[in-house]
Amino acid sequence: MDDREMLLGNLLVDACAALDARQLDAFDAIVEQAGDDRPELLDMIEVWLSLRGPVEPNSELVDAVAASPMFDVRPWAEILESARLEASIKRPALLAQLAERLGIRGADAQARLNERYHELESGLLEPARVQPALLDALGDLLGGIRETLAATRFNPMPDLGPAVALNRSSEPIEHMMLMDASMAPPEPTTDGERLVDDLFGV
Amino acid sequence: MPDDAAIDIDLTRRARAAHRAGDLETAKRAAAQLWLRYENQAILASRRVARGAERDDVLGCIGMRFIKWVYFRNEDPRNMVGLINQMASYAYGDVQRTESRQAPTIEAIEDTRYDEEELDLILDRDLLERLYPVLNERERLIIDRTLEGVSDTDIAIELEVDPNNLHQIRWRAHKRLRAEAERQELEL
Repeated sequence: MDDREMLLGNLLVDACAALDARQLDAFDAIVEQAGDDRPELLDMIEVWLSLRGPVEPNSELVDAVAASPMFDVRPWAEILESARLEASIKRPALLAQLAERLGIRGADAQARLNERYHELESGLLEPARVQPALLDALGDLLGGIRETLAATRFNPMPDLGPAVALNRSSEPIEHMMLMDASMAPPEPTTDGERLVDDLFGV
Repeated sequence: MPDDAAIDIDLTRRARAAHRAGDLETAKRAAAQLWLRYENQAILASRRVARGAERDDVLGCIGMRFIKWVYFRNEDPRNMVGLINQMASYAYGDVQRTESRQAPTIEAIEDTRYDEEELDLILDRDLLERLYPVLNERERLIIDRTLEGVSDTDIAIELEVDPNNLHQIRWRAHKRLRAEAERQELEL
């Protein structure tokens, strides 16, 4: 048995132990140690997992994982609103912080940000194409929910009832209108508006 | 004792039924149990298709596809590992599209056709049984004892080998199994 085989044999044992301990960083570091033999090491791990078969998780782990963002079935609109309310941040304050964080300046861009965020929190805009910079900013500003937002961006959109279809801005009540296709913001005409639309994946 | 496929089918059906009934806690618990049975394979699959910062993004996308498959599809799982491997290849595409600002639509994910007929045969437990003849008696004993949960120290004592040598013997056994699986796959 040569040195290479001995190294891979030891890495196989360590990698399987790291997987079972759910230590991903350690697992990745071990796999990278295989260098050019990385694919072969992955093959060996696969064989090992196949031989052993599925693991039976204990109930504590099942409960913990079931409560993780991956299993959160809420639409983004609900997640955003509940996180904002939980953090006691009013929408104008959040938008001001978002603008500062994302470098959005100018009245036109600010207005665009207000509109697009309203669409997002009202379930009128699909979050699937939201860009990582906006995802990071929202996640940080709303209490560290980035992982939740990333894991749920393909969740189904909410049904549009009156509560979400109304523009909940600071406008007087008589100025509120139903949002429909005709209310969609016009094509961006300035760089600031384009920047905002890009961030929202529009 | 039910076999693995029967357990997978039962968990999947329970998750779907609870989800349809609006009992999200039960749905999440059944889905989480199913996920945990194959989480290691999902991690491995993500590392096969991606490296660096992308590997965890791919794992996340496998998770999204897994949840959508459990809740919104109708077919029973026949081979969860094969299914997850297919999800990994699509998940890598999801990550690439997101990076190029062309995120897939929900429909694109939910309508993905996972062809469970095209599975990696190494993942078939019946086939694994057929691979065992390529192992010698000592190698088979090591694999059997390990699967029984016997510690490496005890196996080494039983075989009267150095624990370091035990790792090497087991590694060689794995390698031979893999080669035999590939040979049999080529013959099909």
